[in-house]
Amino acid sequence: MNIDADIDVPLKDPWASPPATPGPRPRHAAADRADRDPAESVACWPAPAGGTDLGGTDLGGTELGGTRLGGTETGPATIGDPGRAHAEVRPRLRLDPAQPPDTVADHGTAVSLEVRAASVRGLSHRDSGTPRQDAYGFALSADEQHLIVVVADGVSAGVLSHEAASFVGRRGPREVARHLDAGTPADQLPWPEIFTALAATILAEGARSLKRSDPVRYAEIPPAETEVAAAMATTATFLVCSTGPARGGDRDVHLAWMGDSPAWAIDPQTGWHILSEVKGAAAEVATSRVEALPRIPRDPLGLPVASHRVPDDWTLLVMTDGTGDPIGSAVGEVAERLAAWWRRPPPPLRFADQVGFGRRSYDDDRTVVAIWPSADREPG
Amino acid sequence: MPEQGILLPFYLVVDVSYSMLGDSLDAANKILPGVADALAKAPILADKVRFGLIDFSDDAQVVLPLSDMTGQDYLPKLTVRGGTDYGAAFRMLRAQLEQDVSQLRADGFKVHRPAVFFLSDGEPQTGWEADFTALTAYDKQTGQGFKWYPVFVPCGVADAGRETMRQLVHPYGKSKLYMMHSDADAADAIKAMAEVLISSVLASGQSAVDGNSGFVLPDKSQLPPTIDVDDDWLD
Repeated sequence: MNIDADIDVPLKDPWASPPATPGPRPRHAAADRADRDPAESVACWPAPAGGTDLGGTDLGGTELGGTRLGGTETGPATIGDPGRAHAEVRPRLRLDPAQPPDTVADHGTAVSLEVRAASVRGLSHRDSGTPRQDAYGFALSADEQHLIVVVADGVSAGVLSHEAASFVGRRGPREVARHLDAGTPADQLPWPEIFTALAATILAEGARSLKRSDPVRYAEIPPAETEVAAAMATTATFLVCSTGPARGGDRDVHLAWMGDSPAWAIDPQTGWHILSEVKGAAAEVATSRVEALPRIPRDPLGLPVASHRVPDDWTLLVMTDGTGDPIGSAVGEVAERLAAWWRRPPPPLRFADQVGFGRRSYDDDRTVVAIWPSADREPG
Repeated sequence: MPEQGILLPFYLVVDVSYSMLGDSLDAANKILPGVADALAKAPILADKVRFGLIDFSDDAQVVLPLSDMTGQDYLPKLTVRGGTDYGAAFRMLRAQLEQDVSQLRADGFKVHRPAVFFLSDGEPQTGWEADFTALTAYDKQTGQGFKWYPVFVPCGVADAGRETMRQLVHPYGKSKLYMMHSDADAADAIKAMAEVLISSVLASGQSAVDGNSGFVLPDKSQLPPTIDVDDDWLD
């Protein structure tokens, strides 16, 4: 979740505005790979043994301490000035097995789609030893015609928000699949009903969690819904896309969201396109207030949805604002670098490293689910 | 939307009139190293904080331009000179804020409203009010005034007058007045003001990390015994 900056800036249409800093990029640190042409990085990158490098993309690492092993640059991915925290924070080990792991990642194919996903604990949570509050989840409809993806960003203020995010990651995609399996077309999914059902799940599971955490207090009267909502809240952004065989053609993508976790697409030729909405773009005054489950708006039919028909070779990305904020309106070096990294699917663990890229002052949890057409042919 | 992240600019403005000579100045000269030490231990906050030092007597000077406090090999020292002209300090501040905030925004940072800690030990020369208004007045509706006005936190020690310092609290509700107890030692009170400043830097930085907005100042219960806080304003 983001801060409410006190200085009000009228925000322009991100597609209409030029980059904030025309001319040379500011340099805040020693020269690093951000100053290289991404194309050059791709060309320089030695092909790994076994030909497993699906994307052939840039490693995305900067040299920390100048280590080179076997001619391979090592060190975590960074973009621009990584700041001190990225190098100096000593993450506290997760000792409580009930808490989510520091980092989770997935990769694989779903019919004709190639998928990468990673959720990485932010530096501030690593520093304080508090849990990662982001989660993601997928499901495939029974007929395998649709892949359903969700990302969830637990609201910082709730001590159990990681649980709410986790519920959404586990239950959300299945709930959507249930409707598809019952014959509902993907463009007619009953999103208000789906969000309302998820809210009910969070309230029920959350009440149980609260009761477990304080059995004496809740011995007689179970926790009220407002107490559960104060203890756990999460954003949810769903993406439903056809699994193919849209090769060479277009792909239908449907989205619905509550809160500020954005969905983007990267066109290999023209770059970034927003599929949901850019945080703060509609508001003149930035606000830290986030819509989040289990609170459902009084008029759930007003919840935002979107449908797009996108070319098959575009990369689809659903993410939390830990990644969405540094991308901003996709005109700066973060967007440029991520587009270079994610034009094609990187090796799975490299993707997780890239999701956790170091950049000064960005210390929130990060989650990205990325979808490409399957790698058995050259996309684009 | 900026994509360089959040920055919280803090400025310390110190009175270096002759009356500060001695233990008071020594104590004031320990503030900057104190801030640097605190941030050295908190890399997450250090990535979000910029700090600048301005001194003033008959004129005002930028002693340390708004800086990333990490990797500063040399921290400048204050020396005394002349009288106490608040107007000079306010004019310099206005010019610096304008320049610094414009530059940071042009570089793509999302800049939080700056905070100014203003440390003085005496009554000023008359005629500062118009300069303070130019620094702090802003009408959001009409856009008249100084859009990037700071949260101005007056810290009075020794002979600083409570009534004068109270006029510098801006804006009401966000800022507070910190004053030395009349029986305290000025150097001890400056040390206490340094604690207020450092705890505000750390708490405000943490607030930004936690996704909240806002500048945080310690309340009465968190204060060292040599100073008190005046924050029970009636609107």
